[in-house]
Amino acid sequence: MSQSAAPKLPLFQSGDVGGLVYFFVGNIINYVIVIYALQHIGWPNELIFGRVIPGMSIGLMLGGFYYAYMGWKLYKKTGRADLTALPSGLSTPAMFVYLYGIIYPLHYSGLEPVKCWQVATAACFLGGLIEMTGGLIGPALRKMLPRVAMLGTVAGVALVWMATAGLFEIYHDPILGMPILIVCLIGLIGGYTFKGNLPMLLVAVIFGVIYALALGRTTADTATLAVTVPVFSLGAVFEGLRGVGPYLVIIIPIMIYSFIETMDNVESAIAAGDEYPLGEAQVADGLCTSISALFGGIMPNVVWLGHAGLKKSKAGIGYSWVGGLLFALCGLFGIFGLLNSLMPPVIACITFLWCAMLMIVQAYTDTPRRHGAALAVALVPHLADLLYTTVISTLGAFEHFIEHTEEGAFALMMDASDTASQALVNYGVMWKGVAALKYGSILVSIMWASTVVFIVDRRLDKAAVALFAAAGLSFFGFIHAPHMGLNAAQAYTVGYLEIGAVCLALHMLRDKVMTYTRRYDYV
Amino acid sequence: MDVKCVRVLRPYDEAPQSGPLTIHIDEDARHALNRGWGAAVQALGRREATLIIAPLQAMDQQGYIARAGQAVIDALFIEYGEEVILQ
Repeated sequence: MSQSAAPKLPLFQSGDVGGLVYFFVGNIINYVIVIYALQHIGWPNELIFGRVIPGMSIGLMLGGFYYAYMGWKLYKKTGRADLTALPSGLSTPAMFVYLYGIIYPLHYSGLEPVKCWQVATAACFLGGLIEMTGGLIGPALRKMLPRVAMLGTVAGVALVWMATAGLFEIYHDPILGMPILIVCLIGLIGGYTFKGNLPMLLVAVIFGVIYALALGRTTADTATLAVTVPVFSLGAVFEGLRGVGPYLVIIIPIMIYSFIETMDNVESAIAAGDEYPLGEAQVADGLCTSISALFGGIMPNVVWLGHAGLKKSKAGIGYSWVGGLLFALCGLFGIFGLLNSLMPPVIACITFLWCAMLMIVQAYTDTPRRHGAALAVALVPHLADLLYTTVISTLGAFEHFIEHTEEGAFALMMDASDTASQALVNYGVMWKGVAALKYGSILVSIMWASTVVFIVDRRLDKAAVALFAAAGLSFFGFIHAPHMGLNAAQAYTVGYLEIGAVCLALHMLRDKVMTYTRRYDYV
Repeated sequence: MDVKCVRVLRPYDEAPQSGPLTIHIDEDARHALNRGWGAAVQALGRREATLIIAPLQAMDQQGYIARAGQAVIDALFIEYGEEVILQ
């Protein structure tokens, strides 16, 4: 009796082109940000293009290869050929924190660029180790947390960091951005393709590059083209470890954020139908980050948002390993500078917008409707994060730094106790609340969404546990505080303990003091 | 562990009233769960329960719904028309 052959998993397929654009161009935008930020504080090109960029490229290469391999393993396990590799990339929020929370303060404390770089590589290396530990507790966390809490916080990050960045960039240059946007939307949302099955996204990218050149928005800059062999920099990491201590309070929370970001995004991939092992993905992230640091990289890797969008675009595993290869080649030959000069940012921003749309839709449609309130709550802390980051970045652009730390370094931190923060409060800006919600926004988002889910599902006992956990996080400064430490956010700790106690008491007395129905439609 | 969110409606008239707790889902949902018919899945409503998956009738395929009896509804502490997560 003949058996039907299992479908083959192509090493590269047409849908991978769109994935490649997302993976490659999206990361290039982050490269551009890093390059620009480092040049702005006077890091020499030899350091940026000779050490930092090759190191970051090695991290992305390994990530791309490994996630393609994970896709291959999943294919072998399930026999399904319609799977999509996890997208990997530099963690955008962590990137900003590393830039403005570690590297800039180091620079303004008077350290020369090489010393700053050494500390940054050490910070990145330690960050990778912290990410790896997430692999041990990630699967357990996933079982404990409601699904909407994780998808909701992904939607929040997607909304404030990706969708806004996408649309803002388009409206920054509408003559260039709008035509590219509409072609992409017709293809991606409308499902149209050009004759010959030519993806409209690909057409839009090629058109965008040519159009930007024609409009004079971009020019080809070949100054950085040269063979650059990555340098194993274990000595730099060890040297940097001596100066990284004061920054652990920044590194630990942001790397916890990163491994939760990976956890959320793997959850999103599972929701889209690809069952990747969470722990393995988190360990891979950490290893890639640490190895990248050993070769001079200064930014952590994560599993990126966007798997659902890529799957919808029929990307497979090809985009991941080809993207990894491209990063290696571009790092080796110094092509990032040239690509940076040719690629209008609007192209990456459109892919950001598309994937953000998918994330938000998925958070609403792949969870029970009664949990919609939890999703709404989950979005808010991320808005505070965006607002806060925008304000301090604006102040930082004018070299206006708020706090002077004990170590003599300037830090971009505001907790409403300084003059500038007080001025904002006096002017009617709810800055104290913004700052409180910004610190640990992803954890705040998860805790509040979980609490709301448990209330909706008539589980006030679980809501109490979530709120007591939030009290613990506040106490140690993981949320609502600029620094970690004991009793770091006392008011919020007390507040969470109070409402946790209320939930627990009401749960224990529910049949005596309350009436309730099984189902209550609050909308 | 694959996951699927489905909206639960009333069972078919001819469905058995006793036996293991069963939920009828469409082929897409079964594919997403990566299980075969008759497999046990964990269902998350307001409460949790282990259910056996069975196929919906042809007219309900691709309807984004599931069908289950009152015993399942009670076990999950939901009402008809609400969604549950299967995993």
